[in-house]
Amino acid sequence: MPALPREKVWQVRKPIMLVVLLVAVLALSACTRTYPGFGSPAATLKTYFMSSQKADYSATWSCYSRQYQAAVPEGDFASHRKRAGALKGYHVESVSVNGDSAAALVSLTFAPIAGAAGSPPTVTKVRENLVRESGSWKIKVW
Amino acid sequence: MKRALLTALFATVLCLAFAQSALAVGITGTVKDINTGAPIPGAAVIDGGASAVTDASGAYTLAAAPGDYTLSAAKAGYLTTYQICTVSAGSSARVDWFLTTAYPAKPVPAKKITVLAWNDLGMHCDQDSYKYFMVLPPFNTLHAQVFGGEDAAKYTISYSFAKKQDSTLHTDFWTYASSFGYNLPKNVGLTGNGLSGQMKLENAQTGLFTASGIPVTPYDDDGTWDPYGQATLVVKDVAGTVVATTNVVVPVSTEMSCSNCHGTANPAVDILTKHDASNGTSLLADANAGHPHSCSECHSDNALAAPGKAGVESLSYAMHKRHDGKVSSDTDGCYTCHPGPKTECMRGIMARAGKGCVDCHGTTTTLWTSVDAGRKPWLDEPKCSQCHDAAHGENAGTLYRNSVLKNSVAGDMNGKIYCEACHNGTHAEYATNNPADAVITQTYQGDNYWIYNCQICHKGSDSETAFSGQAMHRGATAGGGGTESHTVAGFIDSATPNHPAVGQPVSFSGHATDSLGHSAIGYQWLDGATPISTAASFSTTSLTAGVHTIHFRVQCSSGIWSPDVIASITVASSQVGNVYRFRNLKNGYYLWTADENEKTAIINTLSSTWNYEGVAYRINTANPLNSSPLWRFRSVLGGFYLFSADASEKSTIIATLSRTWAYEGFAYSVSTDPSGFPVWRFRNKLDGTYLLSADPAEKDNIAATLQGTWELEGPAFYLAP
Repeated sequence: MPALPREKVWQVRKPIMLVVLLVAVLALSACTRTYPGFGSPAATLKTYFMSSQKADYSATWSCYSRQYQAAVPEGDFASHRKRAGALKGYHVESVSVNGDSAAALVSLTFAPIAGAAGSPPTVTKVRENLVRESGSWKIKVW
Repeated sequence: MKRALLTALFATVLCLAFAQSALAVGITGTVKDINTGAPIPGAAVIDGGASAVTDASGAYTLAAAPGDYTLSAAKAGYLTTYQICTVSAGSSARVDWFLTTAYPAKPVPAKKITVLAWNDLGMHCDQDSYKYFMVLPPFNTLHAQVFGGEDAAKYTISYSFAKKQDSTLHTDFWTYASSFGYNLPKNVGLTGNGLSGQMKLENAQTGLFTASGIPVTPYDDDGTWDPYGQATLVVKDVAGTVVATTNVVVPVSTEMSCSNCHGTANPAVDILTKHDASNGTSLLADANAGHPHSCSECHSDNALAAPGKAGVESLSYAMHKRHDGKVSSDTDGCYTCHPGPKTECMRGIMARAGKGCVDCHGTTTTLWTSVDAGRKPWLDEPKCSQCHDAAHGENAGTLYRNSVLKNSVAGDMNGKIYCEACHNGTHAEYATNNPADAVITQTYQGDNYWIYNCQICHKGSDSETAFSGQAMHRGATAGGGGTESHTVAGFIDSATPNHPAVGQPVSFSGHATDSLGHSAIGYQWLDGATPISTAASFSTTSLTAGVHTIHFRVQCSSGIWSPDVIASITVASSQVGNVYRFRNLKNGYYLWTADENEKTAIINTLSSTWNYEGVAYRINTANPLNSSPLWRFRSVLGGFYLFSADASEKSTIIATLSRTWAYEGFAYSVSTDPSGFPVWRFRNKLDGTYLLSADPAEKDNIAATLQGTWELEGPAFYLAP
């Protein structure tokens, strides 16, 4: 089979290279964008639980509504949250949206608490309430 | 001769010194607004006979001979407040006041059944980890009373937590409970109660329901730090029908800052190491072997009804004595071990009035030396009657948390309503500075005051009885007195507007209470010594410019007159300029202008955007004090306005924030002298906009009910009368 002229080779390879480049850029972008933000109840829940799982409590705090953030400063929250149970996994079972509020049922898996080594992780189900504030969905505590 | 002169001179000096010391006897202090801390000029402080009126700085001096006094402080627009004090021979007593704004007069939503609920202590403590020792277990107590329906025995009350259903997620208490002598299933507390269940009718006579020992933690199930989480109470009748529901705060904190002194690596290990070294115990080794101890195993602890071991100091005694001198003798010092700088347990109205832990409990030294003197920790605690008059004291020999109303004019309420039902738990007495506490009062009254509105339980009461919360406590008179004697008291309910102009109608309204239930047969209102009305309520346009001290007294059917209560009204001269307020219909922003042309132009051309709200306040342009410039800025980004009478703030904004705030120049002239009437500035926490208010009722209503949105920055400027 005759070898393709150099120009032809480049013509064939160019689209492949572009696709590879595009995939690389997208992958890099996915790595740097740690959390999905607050654009939808699902995104907020993901940010909330993913950050908690990573013990990135500063990011967890950013998920709360203004009312909670006004009552509990970020530093206070972080210092207390790290003393509570460590979140190991989560699964959002359902989300229902009603105007500017939403509710979700979430399954959480916590690590055995300190001092209770050997006991199995605990799974619990919680209901999370969300509220839309200035376009962002936030976790509502009260 | 010379010697005689010297002797005479010496005698004269002695006499003068003596006279000076006799004159020094009296009562001094200041009267301030509890929300803003601003001085209240024109408030009357009365000892039952003599009275004094506060000056521009809120200060007063009341001449008083040595003795015991029940004082009252009153000012139109504020609730009359009482305190007791003792004047000793040769010295002055200091009594400071923080007055609360008068009850907002508004109807409350009708509810057939009212359920009042509260936490007994205002805060409970537990621990994140029990691996090394137990000071206190997860243990919280809720009380509730049902009003407006059948006997309490015909109801059941259940409790539950929407967000706290599994305490084992965040505390290891149940891992070690058996080491402390408790054989408990997970999520069950010391009394057998869990995180949901039925409250027990603890006292059928008073109708008190209790759920004690609830093992709740400061964490929601998802890990949220929530020391002021809420329980939901559901009241059912005998048929099982839900007749009422309410939410109540269940405060709990693990904020014991042992690491401040015992190291951050593992403070518990440091504590046990020191304890073992001092006392020859093996607590650390035991804990490391998986068998931690409870402090109350050896140290008696009345909080847990634990007898301890003979010869070992009680836990309270040992802890306070051991830490005496290591922490400061103020609230910050107490917060080193008790919750705490982040939890802010001290949040009730007494804390808001400037009282700290030591004002009621004494210093760390007092807390252990008083045990030496026979005090029983947890059982002998501070008494309301240490500061408040007899009408507002706790029941004799009973703690506040167990006391009930006993001196109401309406006898059928006596012996039934717990103090905490209306005033909330100690450390969190209404009105607190934590919005989370006000769940019950917001539900029933729409504000964060204590329960004062008769209509909450007495549906269909007329407005006169509906807003007379102080009549609840018989004997609450300017003359003081106990609860057994015949006491007639007059109350000024309103004197409005607060600072009228000449010719403007001023309305006064008052009412009476009588400890024997006698009816009022006469009223007297005096402007100084001049009678101006004999009706309970009246209106006048005849007040001249200047300060008027209005006296009010009431005569009961047995002929006895009440002591005078006083309101101070300052009437501005008619030379006033108006400041108008507009509200932007699209975004809720406010604009104020004193410029008649601007006002007319806005009304004529921008009324679809800016809604004219009328005169916000008046400025007496004849008073030279009203000559300080007020400057106006406009937000470049948001289009809202900021006003400042502070020259340094103005310069700072111009110098550093000119990209954000456009300087619009002089707006109008005001006063910066605090003797005038304050105009308060609020900042919206959500959007950064500003609001000005010269109306004390509006200011207090915003501060009380919208504090989540509007932050009170304090007086922006003043209006001299």
